[in-house]
Amino acid sequence: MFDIKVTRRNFVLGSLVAGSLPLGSWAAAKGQAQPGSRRPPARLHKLLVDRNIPESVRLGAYSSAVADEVFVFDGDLTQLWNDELRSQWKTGPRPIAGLTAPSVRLVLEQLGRDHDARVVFSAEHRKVADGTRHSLAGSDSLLTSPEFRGSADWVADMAKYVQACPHEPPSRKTMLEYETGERPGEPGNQQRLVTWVLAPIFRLDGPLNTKTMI
Amino acid sequence: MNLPLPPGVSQADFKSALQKISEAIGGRWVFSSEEDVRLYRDAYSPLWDDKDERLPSAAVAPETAEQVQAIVRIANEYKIPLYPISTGKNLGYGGSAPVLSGSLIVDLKRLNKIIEVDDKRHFAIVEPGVSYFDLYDYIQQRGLKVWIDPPDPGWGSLVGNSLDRGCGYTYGGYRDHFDSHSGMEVVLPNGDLIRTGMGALPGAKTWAEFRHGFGPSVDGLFSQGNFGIVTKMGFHLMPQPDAYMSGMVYVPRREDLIPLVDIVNSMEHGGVIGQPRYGSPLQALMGESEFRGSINRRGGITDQELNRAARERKLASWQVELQFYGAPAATEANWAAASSKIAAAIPGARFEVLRRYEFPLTKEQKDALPHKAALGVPDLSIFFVGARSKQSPEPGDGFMWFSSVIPKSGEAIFEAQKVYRTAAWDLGIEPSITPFSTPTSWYRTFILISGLQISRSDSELNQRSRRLYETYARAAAAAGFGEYRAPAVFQDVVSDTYSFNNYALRRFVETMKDTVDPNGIFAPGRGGIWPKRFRERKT
Repeated sequence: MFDIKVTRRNFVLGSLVAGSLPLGSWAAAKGQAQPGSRRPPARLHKLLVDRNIPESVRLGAYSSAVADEVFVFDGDLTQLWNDELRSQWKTGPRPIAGLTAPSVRLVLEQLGRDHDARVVFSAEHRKVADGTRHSLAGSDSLLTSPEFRGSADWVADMAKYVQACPHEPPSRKTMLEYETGERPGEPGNQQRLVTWVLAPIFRLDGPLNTKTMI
Repeated sequence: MNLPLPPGVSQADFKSALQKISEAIGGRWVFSSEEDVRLYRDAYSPLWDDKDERLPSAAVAPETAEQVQAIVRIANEYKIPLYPISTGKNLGYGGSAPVLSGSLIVDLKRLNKIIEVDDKRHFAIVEPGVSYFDLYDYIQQRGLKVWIDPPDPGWGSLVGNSLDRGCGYTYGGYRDHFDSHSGMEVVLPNGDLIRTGMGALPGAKTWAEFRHGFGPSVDGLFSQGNFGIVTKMGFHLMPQPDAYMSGMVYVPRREDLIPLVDIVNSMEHGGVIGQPRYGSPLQALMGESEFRGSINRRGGITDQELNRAARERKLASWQVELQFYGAPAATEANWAAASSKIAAAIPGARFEVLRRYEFPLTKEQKDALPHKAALGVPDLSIFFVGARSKQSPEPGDGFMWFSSVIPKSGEAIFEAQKVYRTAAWDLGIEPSITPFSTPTSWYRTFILISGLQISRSDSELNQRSRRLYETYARAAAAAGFGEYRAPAVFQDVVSDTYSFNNYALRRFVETMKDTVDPNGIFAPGRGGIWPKRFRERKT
């Protein structure tokens, strides 16, 4: 258990840590539209932090830069669904993100189907011999930009992707794979993890858009 | 990923059909982009990314029974197979994907009205888009004194789970969700709308209470079947009990399971207890590689050796949690009586009180419940408990469930363990069923459930799991244990095991299918029933 003195509703450490990070051009890009995006990236409503996963906790340290609220949990989404999302999503979901076990993304993706929410960015992290392999899927504009990669800690890169990810389904989707080495003193999580952003999609009422038809 | 077209339908015709449907229900509710449609893939498909993966062509989401009727009429005109889902959340049994690739998903999530809930006569009438969470909220917000019986997880639809013959965890017959239904409203393949049971009587006042009505009962045709799209359904609900208590019984020897099951059966069938939850403390030892190796080598170890292992570890061979619902004094008295009866029959039995509650519960009590479904509270925790363990260091991307119906006896548990372990050994696979595996009580029978792992990246693992599933199905049938429910990919395999008198039952149902659905547009292949045009192609 990696308790960094958080409550489920408040996550104060994040603002202190993120304030001292070398964010560079990422911070400057905050709030600006990505090339090809129709809407500028907005802040997330909520960042999910699984207190049992060190990488998730590390992403939580960037919360003040990316999200209005942090939800710290023990791997089980039931309480978040019961207490918040279930009623909130009836009037429309809001963008959320996390670095979690794959089951969390799966459950939210399935629930999102019924509320017009989609996973708009996803990065799978799998332990390999001397590091971590990352398989990303998201908007072309986000994944082709080199400015989001190269931090000493790959979790910091994920924070950049999450922060810059447009909250809409990619008009052009792409895949990206790369590996990062182990952090000194940290063997890396053996468990497969996934960073994801789930966002509402907006549909226009009216006749079927035949351009989307097969 | 290319989306398939409905079989035998040209792209131009399909486009024209979708245009007509969008005029009937609104273009916003016709999903034909790849991004939208791929959300209807079976999230736990054993054919993930395989050329044979069952994929829909598109999806539509009507809001009313009239809109469902309009879709059915258009589908008949173009001979487009429809695959209705309520919420499509039965992961492990096929999810929202169709049996026949190219089917058009009819997603009923927008038919989400709760028509009526009565806490004096204990029933509800709901539409298929109503989830267990939705009905639970409705009841709690109004302070009604009735319980629902959620499955695990509770995110699915009452109608969908019932039609798929799902089960729950509370008390008696409420756990059999199809058995606790009462009356349906159904759109037929010709677009007609019927009501069954007392619902067929205009102005009926007992639609959701007296399921039989008058004349032949046809409700079963719509369960695991492809004869109609259910748009409303009544359910019996359990009255909220005053109190609950549970206690654990431990018995020392392997052979003690036989008298234990017999005694617990009499309590359960007599209405004294809710669902008994069996287990074995020895199962936890399977995390030790040496112990696991000795258990899972072909032939395993003898009952005497298993008894010795339990003795040396000071562990019981078996345990069963007994759950009592009712007045506080009644639950205590029933626990005392049960303990006394078991102690007299099984030397060395031990007893431990686990939990006591009086209702209604506070929010804090509900949040802390170890198994919410047993107290009628829906949750999602099944996705997150034990996801990674010593026994399952890489849990994969999900499971498909093999669920066979076995007699409710200790002897049958031992026999089923042997059947499935032998089947795995025959394939050179380490058995996931152990000598400590216990079934779920389905009121009058047991269901022995095995989760077969699936992967989104390891096609060999999926192939192995598919082979094991088919082997299990045949071995189960040979032993007289039928599979009660199956993922889409295996519905033909399971249907083939129900072969009495040269498949007389299936032939009878196929005859009805060809009459009622001559264009074969309703869920071809569901439940192993194929309409004529696809049956002929299949052969």
